[in-house]
Amino acid sequence: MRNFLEGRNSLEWKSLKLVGWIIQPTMEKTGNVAIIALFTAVIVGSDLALSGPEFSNIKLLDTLVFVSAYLFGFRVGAAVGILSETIWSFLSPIGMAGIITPFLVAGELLFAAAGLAASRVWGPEPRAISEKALFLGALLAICAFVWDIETNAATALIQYWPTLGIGQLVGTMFNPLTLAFALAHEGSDFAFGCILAPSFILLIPKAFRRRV
Amino acid sequence: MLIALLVVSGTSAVIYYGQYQTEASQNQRYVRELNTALASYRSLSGSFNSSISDYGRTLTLLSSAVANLNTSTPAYRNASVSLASLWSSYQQLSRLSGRRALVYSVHLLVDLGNGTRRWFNNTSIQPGWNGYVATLVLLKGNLEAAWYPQYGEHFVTAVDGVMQNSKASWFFWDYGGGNWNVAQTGADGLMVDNGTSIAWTLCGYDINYNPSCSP
Repeated sequence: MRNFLEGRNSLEWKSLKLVGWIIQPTMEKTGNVAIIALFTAVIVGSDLALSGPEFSNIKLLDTLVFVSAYLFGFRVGAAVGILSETIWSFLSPIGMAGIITPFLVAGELLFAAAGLAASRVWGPEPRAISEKALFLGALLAICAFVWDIETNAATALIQYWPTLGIGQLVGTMFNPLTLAFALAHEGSDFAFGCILAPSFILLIPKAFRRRV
Repeated sequence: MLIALLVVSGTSAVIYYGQYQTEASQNQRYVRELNTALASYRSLSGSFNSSISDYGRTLTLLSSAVANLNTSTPAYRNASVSLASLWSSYQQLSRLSGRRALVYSVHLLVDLGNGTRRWFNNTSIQPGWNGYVATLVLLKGNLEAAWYPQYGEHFVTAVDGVMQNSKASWFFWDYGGGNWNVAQTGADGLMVDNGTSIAWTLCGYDINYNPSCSP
């Protein structure tokens, strides 16, 4: 290594350091890639399993994006959210989402951000997590509410662009259809946040430790 | 005299035999032509039946596309208006081909909320259509809606040319168990079976969007 570096000027040395900086973190993140792939596969599989009309707008997607960000950080959570929502936008049996896909993906980033924020507040201590289950559920329900508002606003934008008015915006965001779907979404996210999210946060690190 | 009679009758026999042979060969030609025409007809008939099947599949695909297109796009408007006439011509062609297209019979009620009620009884739809597509076809595309791709549902804003307003909205109903039941998640979520009765009513609603009327 010394011979290789001998005679090189500082600019070349800086370039080599830059290359190393790019490659090294990539190699270190192999584990993260596996985690992202695992979460994404589980999300897409569960989305398909829950795609029937009896589970209308009930999905594990939000909970798992939240949990992945809580346990492994925002970047992992965001990657899980972006990948799984993008894949689902194309694979969904009810049809491709189309132009609204970026808005759906952006909404998932909210769950990743909430997961990071929750981990900063409550940390990884298991007892604290189980005691805060209701707060986790409430946090997920709030995120679901914001997601619904954001995507319904995007629907109005796409539907009525470029003549979108306030009446059309409000009418598209708040109507019997959106209320029914919002209730299912927020209610299921609250339930999953109370029951599944704390369980996953406790069990996943244990499972990973056992593997190691 | 006898010899002359023999010559005349022999000559006649030869002439008529020659004509018989000519006619026989012409007949054989006609038979061959008829057989060729019959084979062509059978082939054409097979192609026609195959085309009818393709027509049916195309209608299925088109109705699926209409159910998943953004309702503000020109493609949606064209397809939704054309779907009804295509469905009608498909049924006519199926009848001409001597076989009945597999159809479901449904009853649709449109209640405009001002005492006007329109019934579409025993109307034919294609198996696999949901409540939205069935309504779109039966009303000949006279339906306005906003498409929510995130829910896979349409929110219907106008039926049969009558728009919703600030006090009343369109509600979709399904008849079952002796009662009309309001659909909780829209018309797209309801797969219409044979003999199903569905309804659209323009109703007022309370703060929780519960309808104040029923069909």
